Amino acid sequence: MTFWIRHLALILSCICLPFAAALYVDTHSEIERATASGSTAVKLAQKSLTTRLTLESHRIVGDAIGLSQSMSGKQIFREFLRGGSRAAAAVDGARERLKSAAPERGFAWLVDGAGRIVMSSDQPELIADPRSIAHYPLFVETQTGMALDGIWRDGDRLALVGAAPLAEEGMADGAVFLGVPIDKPFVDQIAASVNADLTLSVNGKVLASTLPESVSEIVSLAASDATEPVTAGRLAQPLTYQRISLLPLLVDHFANGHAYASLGSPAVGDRAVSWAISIRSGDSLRNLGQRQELILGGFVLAFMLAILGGLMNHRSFVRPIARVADHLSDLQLGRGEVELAETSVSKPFRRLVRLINMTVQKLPSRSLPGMSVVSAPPSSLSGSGIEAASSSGVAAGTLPARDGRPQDRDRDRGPPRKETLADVLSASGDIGASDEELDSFDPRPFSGASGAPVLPPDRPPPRPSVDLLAGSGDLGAGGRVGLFSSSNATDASASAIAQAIASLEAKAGASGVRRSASAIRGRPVADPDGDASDGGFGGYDSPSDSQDVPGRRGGGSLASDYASSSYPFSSPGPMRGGGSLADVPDFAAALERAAGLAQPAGHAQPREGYAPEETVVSPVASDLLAQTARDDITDSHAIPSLPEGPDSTVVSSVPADLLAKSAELTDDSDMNEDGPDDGDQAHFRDVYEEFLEMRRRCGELTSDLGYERFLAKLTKNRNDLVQKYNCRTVRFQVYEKEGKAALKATPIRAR
Amino acid sequence: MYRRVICASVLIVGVAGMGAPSLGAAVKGSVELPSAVSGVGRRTLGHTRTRLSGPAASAGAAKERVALFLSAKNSLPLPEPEAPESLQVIGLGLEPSVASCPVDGKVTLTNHDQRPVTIRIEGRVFAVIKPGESASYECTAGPAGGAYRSVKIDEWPHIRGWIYVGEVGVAGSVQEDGQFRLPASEGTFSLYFLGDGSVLTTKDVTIGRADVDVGKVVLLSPGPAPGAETTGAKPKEASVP
Repeated sequence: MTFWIRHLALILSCICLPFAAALYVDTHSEIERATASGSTAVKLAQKSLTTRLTLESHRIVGDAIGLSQSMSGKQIFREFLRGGSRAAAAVDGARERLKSAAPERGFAWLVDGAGRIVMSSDQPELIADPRSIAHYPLFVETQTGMALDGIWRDGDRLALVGAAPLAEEGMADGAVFLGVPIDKPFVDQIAASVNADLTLSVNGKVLASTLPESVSEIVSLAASDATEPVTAGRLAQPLTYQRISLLPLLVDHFANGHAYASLGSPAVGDRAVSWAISIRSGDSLRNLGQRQELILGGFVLAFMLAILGGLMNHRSFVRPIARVADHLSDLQLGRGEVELAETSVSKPFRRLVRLINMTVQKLPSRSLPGMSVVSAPPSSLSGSGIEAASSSGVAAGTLPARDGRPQDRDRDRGPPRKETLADVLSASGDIGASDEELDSFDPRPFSGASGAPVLPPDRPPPRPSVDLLAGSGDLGAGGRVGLFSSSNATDASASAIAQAIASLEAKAGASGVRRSASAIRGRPVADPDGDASDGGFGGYDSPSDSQDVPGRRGGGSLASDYASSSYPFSSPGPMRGGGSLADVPDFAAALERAAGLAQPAGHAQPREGYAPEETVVSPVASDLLAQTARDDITDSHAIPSLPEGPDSTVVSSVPADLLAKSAELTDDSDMNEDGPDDGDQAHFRDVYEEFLEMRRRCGELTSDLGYERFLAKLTKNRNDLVQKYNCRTVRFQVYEKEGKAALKATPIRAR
Repeated sequence: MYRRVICASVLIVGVAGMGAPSLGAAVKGSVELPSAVSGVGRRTLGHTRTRLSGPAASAGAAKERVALFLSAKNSLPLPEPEAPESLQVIGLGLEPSVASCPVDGKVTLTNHDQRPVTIRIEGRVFAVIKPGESASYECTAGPAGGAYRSVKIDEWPHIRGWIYVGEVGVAGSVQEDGQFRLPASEGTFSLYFLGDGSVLTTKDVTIGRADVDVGKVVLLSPGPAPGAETTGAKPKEASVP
């Protein structure tokens, strides 16, 4: 869940927000671009409008001049006053001229020198009660001899007027007026010529417009007081994108407020009359939906890829790590299955699971009460020779539960095997040497052998040494857990596991479980199968790191964790070779509880007078060993019929004489500084084969590496290490170091 | 019988002489008006302008209209005006374009056009006057320095006029021949010659029992009226010979 929260937060911050910002910025830049282009266009359109109106003015003034010239010099007003037939003829002539000169839907007036409109194109006779326009500016100007244009405004009627004086003897005497109504057709005509929308208003009231009524009022109002282009209005047709009706986003679908770029200007000659020219700038936003579709498409693609990446990461890394962590947690709590199926995790973690399973296989079943052991299928751990251990079937089967009943969770994995408490003790033993030191040993000329190791016949083969856990991976320079570094597991997973183990170690160290080797070594330990000293855990603690706790060289860390975490199963006391589980009172108590002598849960403090050094594990009865022996024919383990009640393996006080005797025996057989035995020889042969294989894999020559020379060098190093670390023998690991085959030695301290 | 008639006549004449001791005095004179400056020439009417002929004979004869106001500094009670000053809406213009009145006096506005007009004084609608009708504007005291009040007509924005509201005094106008005569009482006065939106000149007048002739006052072109759209006109100048 945390992963998904983080992943979604990552998607939000890295995909959603950038795309949202891109969408926002792109949309607003488009709007700004449309507004800017509209402003530029409307400025140009205004010049066109002025030019067009000027042309119209010239045209109508020209017509007026033509009419004036046709009537000038004829003493027409005197003829009117004369009466009789000549007056009637003059009237008829003037009327015909006015009619012919009157613009369509317009008018033509004949004005006498006093400023009275004596004749109009729409009236057949002289006007009986003429209207005076003596003070009208256009007429006043005509009486100065000028022909000009202007606007005639009579109420709500507007007309573009051309006026010219009637000349009698070179002097102005009266005038003619031609007027073109400025109405909707006129506005439409002008708008079409300038390719823009026009709105004509008088004192803020729209008189005519090419825009819809609701828009024209808004545009007229917005442009009335503006000296620069303004955007206003809304489009008649929405900007809706056909394929996705939701688009465009972040803008009104009718581009409300951005639809038109308008510029207002007062009409020449009458400031109450104003023109507002508008360019439909909102139309340039019609591609906004397509742009946003691309952005949203990219967003959806990136989002889906991110989700897919998250799913893959979750499946490949998060879930396996969680599964491994849960598995380890179950192991620690003594529940669930002992082994984790490799197929339950993704490939990068299968090696890790294999290593964990092999490590767990080394644990005696007693240490995992209530857990079923599911043997992993035979697998190859490169260079570690684990195949033999896995295929030996020792780890296979179902371990008995605490009540003695087998938990046959995976019957196909083989028969259950019951292990004794001695296995626990031996598994928790010290294996001793520093991997850092051992890693520095690089027997380059050596060669190894692959294949199953040949274990001594007197040893049960199933438990691969924990040194394999350390050696199969590449231990780091510090000798700390290098278990996963050479595997395919991710650094994150390795780090996680390493931190987990380190924390366990830290807890163990904090609880003071570490003791000196001298204090631990030599304690009487029952070792019924003679394998308890192989060392179960550890192997990743370098001597340099554990100088403060010399007795814990390379071992006992997990046991320490058991002690600090009140692990519910029992543990032996003194462990040969540096095991320290018995030093922990909690752990001892846990051992007692596991043995049926347990104190109630939560009994963490040792009881009074408790001496952990005196706690030993009693030997296992030979008949029980015989019952649990592996049948070579059936390759299975017999299931002994266990009595009801606590486990027969108990932790009890050992008499002092027995302890002393055991100590002597331990001292005598503690070290084996002789040459390699048969088991070592077989191991060396395996290492040689494995080393050759690794060199071939690394592209190195193998012809110069003979077995005899390899064996000699390996034997020498083995002896040196046995002498140096006072261990029983040494196991070598073949691994790849910087592209070359290398060897790593792990002392085997416990017997 | 004759003695009674004589006595009665003497009495009547005496009473009449005591009731109006200052009547009969007036300020008179003549004004040489400047030629009318066409408002059209100061504005752009259209996109094109072409001369076709010489000006009409009547074009140069037009004179600026001037109103008068005799402002009392120290005087006996002033006579009531015979008739209020008037402004006529005629020929799409105001005739005259300026009128004066004392505080609490009146100015009559009459519409002679064929369309109703909406009169707006100092920006506020005063009245909508139908053709042939009149409306009286009461000259109330205004803010200090606000003696001139603009008159506009909504329907014809080119029409501009002015009403000068003086304090205590006598309003009058100049006849077309330039003669004027203002009835007044004894006292000291200032005679204002009022143009469009501005006082063209003033003259101090002391009136006794007899009329005072201020002579001929020559007025030059008036300066721009306050708020007028025109520019470029020369400042007012006046000379009293």
